[in-house]
Amino acid sequence: MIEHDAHSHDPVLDARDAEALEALIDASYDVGAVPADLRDRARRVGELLNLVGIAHHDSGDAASDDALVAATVLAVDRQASSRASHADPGLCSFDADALDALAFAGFDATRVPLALRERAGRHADVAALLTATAVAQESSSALVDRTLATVQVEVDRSDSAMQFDGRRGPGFAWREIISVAAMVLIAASVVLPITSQARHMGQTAACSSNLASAAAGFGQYMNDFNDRLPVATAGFGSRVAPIGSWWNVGKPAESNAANLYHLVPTGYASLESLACPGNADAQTVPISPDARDFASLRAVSFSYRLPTRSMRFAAPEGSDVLLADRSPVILAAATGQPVDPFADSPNHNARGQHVLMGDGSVDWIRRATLENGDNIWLPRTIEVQVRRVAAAHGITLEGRELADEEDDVFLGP
Amino acid sequence: MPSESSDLPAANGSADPRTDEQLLGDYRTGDSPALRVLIERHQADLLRFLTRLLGSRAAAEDAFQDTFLQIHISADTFDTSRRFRPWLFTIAANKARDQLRKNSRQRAVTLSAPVGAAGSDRTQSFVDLLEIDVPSPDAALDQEELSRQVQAAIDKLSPTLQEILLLAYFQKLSYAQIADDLDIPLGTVKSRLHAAVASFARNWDIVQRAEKTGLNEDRAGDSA
Repeated sequence: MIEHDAHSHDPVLDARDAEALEALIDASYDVGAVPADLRDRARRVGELLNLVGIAHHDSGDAASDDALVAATVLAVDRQASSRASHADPGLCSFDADALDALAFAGFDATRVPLALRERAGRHADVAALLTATAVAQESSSALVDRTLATVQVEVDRSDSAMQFDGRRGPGFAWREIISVAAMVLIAASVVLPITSQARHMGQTAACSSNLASAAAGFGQYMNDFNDRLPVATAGFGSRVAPIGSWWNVGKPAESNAANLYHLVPTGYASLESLACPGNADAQTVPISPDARDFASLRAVSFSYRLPTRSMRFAAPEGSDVLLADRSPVILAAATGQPVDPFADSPNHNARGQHVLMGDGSVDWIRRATLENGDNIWLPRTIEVQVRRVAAAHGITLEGRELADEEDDVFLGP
Repeated sequence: MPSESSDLPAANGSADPRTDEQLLGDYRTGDSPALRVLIERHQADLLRFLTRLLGSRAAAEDAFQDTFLQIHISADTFDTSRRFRPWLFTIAANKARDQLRKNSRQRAVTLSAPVGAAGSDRTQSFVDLLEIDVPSPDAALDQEELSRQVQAAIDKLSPTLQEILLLAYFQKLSYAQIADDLDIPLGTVKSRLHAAVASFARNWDIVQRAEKTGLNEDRAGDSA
């Protein structure tokens, strides 16, 4: 059998025929000397060599033999193509005339001249066989929804590309962030909460400073690892072989939080810097010296960027969100509660959330939706669904969804 | 026959009174729901076309989504004085072709085919449709079985013949319009479509005979 290589127009022999051809060459074109299981194929190959006029010779030269194989394959393919085109049947003259008349009549058999109408009707039956015979699972509203979602992603992408280009700035260098992080941490530690509001403000400031400290760890890690974001779990949440939900914190092979935690055992960040004072359950001490993940979902204070299905993170740019106060959406979804995709993080009494940007800066955003329309708690396909059906049906997350594009901000614990 | 969409809205898929061309025009000017109407209106036919062309429902669904994504991207370039349906099917055929190329599902020629000297087998056979058992559309047949047999007959055609056969029948266009869409000479359209219909009919006949032989063998086996 001849197959066509995916990246080339040149055909290639299938493995069995190639084996037979090589055996024939090895046997100096003596079919009788070819191993019995390949003899029939070798005989056919020999006939084809005769047919296409390729001389038999025993060169004893591997390169020459390869060239012979290639020439044989090409010649056989040409011969087979020629044979195939001659093998196409034609229509008898009545059917040919009827088809021409039918095409002229716009495939409406009733408009074909009477003399040809019976045969035109037969053509119409053939056409109906092809166009009207049902295919499996014909109607699918899900396919319509998926198609519209695909289009919506393109709409969002072009919209965000326009906005993104307009607001991209130089940002800060990681080195600058590393040098100021310690000062920010010291400054934040002097905030003493007096009233409730002051306490919230203090927590917010301490959270911000902790994030700035974590940013320093991120920067060091990325300096050391070729601008790659910390990743500890390979293949978690894969759609090909899902092994669990990435919100299964405490199971490092499944958990997205383990990717963030990776900074702790590798010495780039402390657990204190990954804790928000607004999270009463925040973990500040490892559960064991060789721990590889947080103790539980509630112990996680910050939600970390999820990769795409192909397990890729974008190389961070200044405007990318890498980390944010923990996601209220994931907290609700993981416990089977209804999800509000526009809710703010519980870390700061749902007043807003800190976000660590790709340039190392820490921003405070009052809404979970970025300027480019990207909701940081959801992957893009679900954002599209949200717009359409949230009010009527609510939203379901399973902890297996991943970011749809490298520029799709989607954070999980 | 002009596409049914140009003068009247299609009967299936949507009760929206607008023609396809009006819907696309409205979509271009910001009427987003118009796209859903178009997709629903052409879903069944287009999916059938792509399934027949690609031989797999999953591949057809991918090409279906790619087709409407392309419609969205190219909407501004569409001349609304022309018909939408042929444009849609031409885009779909291109997407299907891309997918076949990507998956390298190319024609394979087996060495076990009969071998003869070049030019020794130039006698072309001719098909007479009246001698072939083609079921009428209203025949009560097992649709699933029928669909499988239709696909088996199509799969034996070369991609070129598959494409012209399906495009012609699904678009219901004149030779001149097909020639325009595919950018090939009118004479080529005619000869290629003749060959495609004849080849399909012959394949259909072979599939039918094989089915009957299989059935008879099954019955003989059962009675033995």
